[in-house]
Amino acid sequence: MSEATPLLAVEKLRKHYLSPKPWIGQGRPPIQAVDDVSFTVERGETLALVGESGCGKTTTAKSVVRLVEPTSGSVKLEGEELTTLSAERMRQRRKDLQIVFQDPYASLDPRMSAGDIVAEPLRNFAGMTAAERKERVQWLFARVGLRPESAAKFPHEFSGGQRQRLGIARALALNPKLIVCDEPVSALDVSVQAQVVNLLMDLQAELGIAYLFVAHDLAVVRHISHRVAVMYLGQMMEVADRDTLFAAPRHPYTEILLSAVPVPNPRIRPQRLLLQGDPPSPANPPPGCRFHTRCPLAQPVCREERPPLTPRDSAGGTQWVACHFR
Amino acid sequence: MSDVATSAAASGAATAASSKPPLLEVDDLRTTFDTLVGPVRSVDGVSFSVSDGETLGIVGESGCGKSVTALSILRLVPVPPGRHAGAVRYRGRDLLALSEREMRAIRGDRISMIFQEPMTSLNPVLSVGRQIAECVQLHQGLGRAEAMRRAVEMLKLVQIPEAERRAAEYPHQLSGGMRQRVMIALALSCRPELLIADEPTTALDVTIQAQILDLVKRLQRELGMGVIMITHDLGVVAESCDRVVVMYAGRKVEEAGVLELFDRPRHPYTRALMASMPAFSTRAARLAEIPGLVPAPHQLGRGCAFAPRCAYAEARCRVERPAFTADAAAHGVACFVAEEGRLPAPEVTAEAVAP
Repeated sequence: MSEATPLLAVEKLRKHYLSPKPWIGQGRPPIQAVDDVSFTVERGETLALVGESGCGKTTTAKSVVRLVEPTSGSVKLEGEELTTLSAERMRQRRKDLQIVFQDPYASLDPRMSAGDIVAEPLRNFAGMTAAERKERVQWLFARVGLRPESAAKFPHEFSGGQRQRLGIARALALNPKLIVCDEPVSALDVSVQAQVVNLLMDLQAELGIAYLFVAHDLAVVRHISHRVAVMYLGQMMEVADRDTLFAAPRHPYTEILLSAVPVPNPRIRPQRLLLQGDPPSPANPPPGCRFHTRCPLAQPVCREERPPLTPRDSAGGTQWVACHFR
Repeated sequence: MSDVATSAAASGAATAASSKPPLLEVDDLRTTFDTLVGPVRSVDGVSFSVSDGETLGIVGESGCGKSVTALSILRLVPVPPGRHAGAVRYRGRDLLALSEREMRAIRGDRISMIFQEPMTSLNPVLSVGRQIAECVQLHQGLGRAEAMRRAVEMLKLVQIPEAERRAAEYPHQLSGGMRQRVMIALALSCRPELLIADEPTTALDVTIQAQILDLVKRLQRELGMGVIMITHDLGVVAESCDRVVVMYAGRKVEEAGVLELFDRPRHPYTRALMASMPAFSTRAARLAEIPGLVPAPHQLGRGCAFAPRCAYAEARCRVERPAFTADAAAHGVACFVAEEGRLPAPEVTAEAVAP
């Protein structure tokens, strides 16, 4: 976590959602969606943020682009603090920081043509002439594998996979340095998913874009990412490079999470570590280590003291783990 | 009252005939919907069978007709606009020929179903205990208090903690995994002979998915029921199924035992599906893409439905529909090229998976 300034540095990020104040009484405690999360993304790198629903991965991703205003903590892009930027300066900064959403149906304006959707960022920022814009849009369409003629069509005329390509073209329009991908392939069929994963990887190889890749599908994550960060109930449990994490996970939660993934090979009958029960509510998280209520290794110290995320030596580089015993 | 009588008769017949007609035989099932663009055949000549204690997987992408097949077995497709042809024989009786009243006695009692989205399939204004109790009252003729006791017992069976308290709660008070367990409890409350699970874990997290699949497997062993597992996830198939039917555009394109299918996939679509899964590929390489899209059912041509996306398609594939034929190992495929043994060895098989 030293050397040159990382592309993105998130430090002690917190997002607590307050419930509306009731007429009488105390009201409910705030939902601690993200609580003290730190990580970095290097240039041209893919960091995957994984975890189960409610673990705060999407809130973290949205806080990075300030679609969600963090409660506290710092988000730095190339060393510049984003959380305190003025609206106008933040707007300018978004050129380097784009997002692709999970639901390609809901994230495109149904009344705009595909060409207009992709041209909108160019109109807002790039100061291009209409002819230059048109040329850029055509290049973008070709680059993401859409026919340039289809620029006149509207979102409903595209299939799910094509719509996701359109979302990617829009994110790509201003040559961003980082694209936050919030479950970009979760809504797609397997065969179409492969097309979009390949496209994202090609774009990275060609244009050097970094991805903050939020996903729950660990097979996709294993394929696409360089490093993986595992979240549980709003906190970071483990961060490591991909091969280390999948081959030698240290945190008990990571272990259980990986063992739960069904293996598409009927000859392998994995020894499954089953997690008992459901995750606790983020409005009332357990004290100490947040995983201790379901952890097979839990000891009294885990109830009392929260283990910080600390580096461990491993074959493939540094592995950061938040556990008293691993 | 007469519902109960019929139900008792039906289950009586089932147990008596244990020497025995097969649990379920689907024979050339065709389900057609009349729509504005004309009749659309969502399920087109699908046949398969399920025996007691067996898990049959039905795999395919969205729009391949796997859910409509399941709904057709239970006659949950609205008629009209739907229409059925062919036969669905449960213990030798054709379900498609039964009256609605006879069907109701079987549905939920001898054959039951769990759906993908538990929130929309549970009744929001009844407590979960009440919903399960209603089912056993109706089918098994238990009294109210006895039925409620059975409901709590079922909730314990599916490992819901504090079952007595949870039985009084409503679906919105439960987590997604717990709702899915309630739905399983509901489906199993009458000890069915066949359970149809339509993407039972798709909406759930992997750790919850592991719990649910484990639960279904355990209950299946205990109750000896047959299971139809409908899924798009080849991982789920590999882990939980004995035999697999692969569907594409409303048709069965391949059927084999699970080991046989993963060792020697024969249909180009099955192979492409396997190759496009990230877990199958070597890590740094590109994923194999299947070009194009699943065709809309009203746009199917005369030939093989997969021909427009198939790397091995020949002129014949576009004009003539390949029949489904099985080899000696009961490994069936609907493909001219595969049947004549002219497909190259598959590039990617399950062996490529890193443990």
